[in-house]
Formats: sequence, structure tokens, C-alpha cells
Amino acid sequence: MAQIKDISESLKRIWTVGLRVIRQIKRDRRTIVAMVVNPIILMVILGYSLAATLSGINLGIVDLQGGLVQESVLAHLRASDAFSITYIASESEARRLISEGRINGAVVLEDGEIRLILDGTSPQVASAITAATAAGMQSAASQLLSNLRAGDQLPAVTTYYVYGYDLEAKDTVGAALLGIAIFFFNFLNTAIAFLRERTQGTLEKVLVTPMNRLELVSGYVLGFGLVSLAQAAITCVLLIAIFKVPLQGSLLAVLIIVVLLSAGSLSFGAFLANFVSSEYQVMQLNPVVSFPQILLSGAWFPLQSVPDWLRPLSYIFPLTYSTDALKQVLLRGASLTDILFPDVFALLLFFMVTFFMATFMLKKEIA
Amino acid sequence: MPMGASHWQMPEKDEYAVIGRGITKSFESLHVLKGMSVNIPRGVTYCLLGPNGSGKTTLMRMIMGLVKKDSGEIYVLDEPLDRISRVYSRLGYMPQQRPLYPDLTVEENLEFYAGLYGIRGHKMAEKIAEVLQVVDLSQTRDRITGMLSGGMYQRISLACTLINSPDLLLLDEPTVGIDPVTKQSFWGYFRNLAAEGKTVIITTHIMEEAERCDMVGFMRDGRMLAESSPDELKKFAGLKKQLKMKVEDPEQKMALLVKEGLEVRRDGDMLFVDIAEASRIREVLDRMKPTDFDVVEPTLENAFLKLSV
Repeated sequence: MAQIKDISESLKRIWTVGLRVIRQIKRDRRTIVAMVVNPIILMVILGYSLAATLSGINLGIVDLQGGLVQESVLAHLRASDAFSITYIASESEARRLISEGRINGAVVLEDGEIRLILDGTSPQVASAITAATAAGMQSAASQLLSNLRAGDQLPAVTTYYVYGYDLEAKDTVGAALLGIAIFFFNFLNTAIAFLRERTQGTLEKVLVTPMNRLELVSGYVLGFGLVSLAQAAITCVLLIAIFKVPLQGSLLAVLIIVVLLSAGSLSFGAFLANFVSSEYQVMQLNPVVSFPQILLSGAWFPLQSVPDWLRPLSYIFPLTYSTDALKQVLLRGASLTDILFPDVFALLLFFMVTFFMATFMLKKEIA
Repeated sequence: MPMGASHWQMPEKDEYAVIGRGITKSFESLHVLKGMSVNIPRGVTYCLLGPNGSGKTTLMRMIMGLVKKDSGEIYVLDEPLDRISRVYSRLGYMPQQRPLYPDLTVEENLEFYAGLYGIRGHKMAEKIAEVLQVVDLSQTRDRITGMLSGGMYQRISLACTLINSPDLLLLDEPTVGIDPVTKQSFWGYFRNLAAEGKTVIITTHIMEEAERCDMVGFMRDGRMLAESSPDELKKFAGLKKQLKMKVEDPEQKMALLVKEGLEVRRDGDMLFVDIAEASRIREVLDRMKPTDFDVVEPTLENAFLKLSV
């Protein structure tokens, strides 16, 4: 019985800290606005800049004589302002030119088949070529329907990538940014909050109460975790309602990933707060923490494009797993069990390790 | 009552809120505490007095387990230092920086600290009203703490320190940077707390502050020079009341007094006579018939200077 009472007292103390954190954030209007608005602004800007009309794409055409459809596709590509067209004799020549960077992609028109040779490292360009080809096929198809001849058949379209993989960059912006926003909101806020606890003397006072270090860090996880949950829920609803981003999986799964990620990032922030002595230093630390993660976590560039020697870094970053998990759930409709390993497992592990380090480092001896 | 650090004997633990002996502490090559002893009886205001760098704050933080000792023994409310967390619910600590969350209201700050001590609901509301009453700030309850004046901020810090009705209060320079009126009321609170049987430990380097305490521990260079009441300390330092007289024919009168075994110093027509017993003052005055006179009380500062030599 005594133990149950101890645990309940401990939980109440954790809630006391959590409530305080929420109250502090509640009073900080600018932070609240930034939490909701920042990811949205970034998504809009990045989404549109990635989906913007392109121009000056060097497109190679290998015209091996096709039928009506192939002609229609060719007419479409030529009519578009986006492309400057070069005729190339063979497919192998086209591949060589792509790999040398002299053209951005090629369309091979052959009887019964259309092959797209694309550069996987420029997803926007690749998708522009794909879209123009599809549009050409569409208009050809409607002509064919009104003027059907026997033996007419739509040619098959196959896509080949010279480098990399199909990125779906435009689609992944939301998933990647949600994770990034959650991670940095929590990391920066806890690092600064713990630093302030230290400098304003509250940490010392709090440590001389019945509350222990474990409860203090747990309280932070609780408070900021709940705030992150609200942040993620609002962001998701706005994304779905206003920006029509398709949510394939369950919102619950998204929120569980978010809670795990935020718990990890705020423990990480609490841990790092031990090594800084001013808010200015936190800001200096921020790019060191954020840029490698943004660049190497697969948020913008696929993991496969990260050089081998940097790859181990990618695999220790929590953002790598949260980005993958959020993409899987948001875009491919994966369930939690689908992403249990490695994503959920890795996020949980990151949280436990940083939580332990944050608690351990919260030394009483502050010389 | 033990005086010098050298004749220290372990007193009865339960008479004392804090007792310690042979305490040493170094930060890297800096020796901050060098065989410190301390005896703080229950129910008194006790001042840790010493110049900057004498180890006051280190000792105070050590008493709460915020700093580990290198060697020695300390008991706080009968618990040895390594089990100090058992008495955390009975301690009230006010660090030098005032430990408040500036973005919360006064009440929210008090609620937070109350929550850490498991004080909730009805009891919490009562306790908050009570401590605000003590520091005379019942009207500030809903104000944002960061917007308050320095003196108010300090009083709220004290209110937060009182929220758990602590038996032992540790206040690190509690009156630094506050106006004389607030300072006066603070000393009133401290005395009331001691009268209720609580022990109030205060660090300061200001002599007049120390003079207001029931007991003073003189610290210097990581050691306890002496600890006792301010009056006892002056006696211990061999300080006496001084009779300051303006007399005619000072040369001759000085010789007369010296012959009687009194300690006399002359400055022009002024004589300064050290007098151990107050009863002798009248007798000396009757015989010397000064044109003007004054009785100068020894100060703690003099005692401190004398003891530090």
C-alpha cells in the first residue's frame, strides 16, 4: 500500500511539473503562434517551390516512330514552355547524355511503348516530364476514342531512373516537415527551459524538495509531450482540411509517432542543456543539431543518396525514423505494426537513452 | 556553548538543526572548506557571517546535499548527509537568485512549489493564503511574477520558501538588494519563525545584519572561527564597552586611570577608556567630571577583525 501511495505521490509531482510547463507555454503567445504557423508556412513555401512551373528543362527525344499516341505525346512536349527539345539517335546515347548531365531526361517513343529515362536526383524535373507525357497520352486517348481503329492500343509507359529513386518530393514535404517542426520545437524549448531553470535558481530549489531528478525530467516530457500532441493534431487537421494533403493511415498512429519523437527530442534538449551556459549558445548549437539531421535523415534527400561514410549518422538520427514512419502512415497508409521495426522501436530507444542521460546529467553538484 | 573550532565536541544531536565537523571541500585545486565545524541549535536565527569567498554559500549548499563533501560529518535534522533527501520535505531553501518562474502568476508559482511538497486542493489554497499574508502580498496573487518590483519578487520568493512550513530555512543572502522597509519586515518574519521553533540559517557579509541574529557563525578562509550570540562573540573577542570623554587636563587624568589598571587611549583632549563592567562607568564619570562623554558599544565588526587576526 505504501508503495502505491509513493507512486501516486510521484505521479502527482510529475503532473505538477507538466502543468507548470503547459502554463508557461500558454502564456507565451508568440511561441504558440510559431508552433502552429511555422510548419504550415514552411509546408506552403516548400510545397509550392517544389511544385512550381519549371522551365529550361533539357529534354532528349528518341523518336523511333510510334503511332498516333506517340505523336500526340511529342506534340505536347514540344508545345510546353518547360522543355527545350533535342533529338537523339538512340536510347543508349540518351542515357549517356543524362549521366553526363547534358540533358535532364529523355523520352523514347517506340511502337507500342513509351520509355521515360529520368534523373532520379531531380524529382521535380522528373515529375514534370512524367506529367507532360501523361497529359499527351490523355489527349491522344480521347482522340482515339472518337476515331477508333482496329488494332489501336495505348502504348505502355515504363520509367527508368538513371540515378536514385522516385522521390515523390512534393508529397513528402508534409510528412518530413511535421517531424522536423516537432523535433526542433521540443529540442530548443527544453534546452532553453532547463538552462533557465539552472540560471534562475529554480533548479536548485526544486532539487531540494521531495521531487527527484527522474520526476523532474518526466514532468517535462509530460508537459511538452502534451503540447506537441496538440501541435501535431492542429497541424494535421490544417494540412488535411486546407491543403488537401491525403491522410492514408490513422491519425492515432501519426500522433503516437509524434509523441515518441517529441519525448526523445525534449530529453535530448534537457541533456544538451547541461553543456551550455546561455541561450545564445543554444542558438549556436541549433544548426549543428538541425542541419545534419535535416539533410541526412531522408527528409529531403533519400537515404540512398547519403554517402556511405555518412550513412551511420543517418541511422542514429531520430528524424530518420520519424520521417520514414510519418511518410509510411501519411502517404502509404501503413499501420503502427507495419512500422514497429525499425521506426517505432528506434524512436523508443532514442527516447530511453536520452531520457536516461538527461536524468543522469542533471547533477546536484553545480559548482 | 562551543566557541573555538578547535575544542569541538559532538553535542546532543536532537538539540541541533545542523551539526557538522571536520568538513572539507575542494573544487579542483581550490580548497573552499578546510576542516569546518558548525553547530546550529534549533529554534534560532543563525547567521553564517564571513567575507566573500569564505565558504558560506558552499557550506549552506552542502547542508542541503547540493554540494558533496570531501570528508567530515554533517547531520541535518538528525539525518546524516547521505540520507538528506529524507528531510527535504522539512527544508525551505531560498537561493541567491530568486527561484521564481517570471512568466507565471504569483499564485501559479506558489501552486507549483506546493505541488512538489504534495500540498494540494483545499490545503493548498489555505497555505497559499497564509504565506501571502506573512509577506503582506495577498493582493498580488494574480499578477505575473516577472512584472513585480524587486522587493516584491523577493517577498514572493520567501513565500515560496515557506509554502511547506519548513522546520529548517536556508536563506542565501535574503536581504541583498531590497529596500530598508522590506528588509525590516524580513527580519520581523525571521524572528517570528524562530519564535515558532523553526531554525533560520542566513548567509550574509553585512555585520549589521548578523547583529540581528540569535547566533552568528564567524567564517573565514574555509574555517569556523567562532560561533555564538553576537554579545558573547564580542566578549569572546575581548571587546569591552568604551567610555569616550572630553576632559580638562587629559594627561594627568589618563595617568590616574592607567594606574588603576584600565586601558586608556588619548587623542587630544579626548580619552577612550575600555570598561569591562557597566557599573564602573558611573564611578569613572563622577571622578573625571568630563565636559562631554559617550558610551561606545563594541561592534561585531571589531570582534570579527580581532578574531580574524
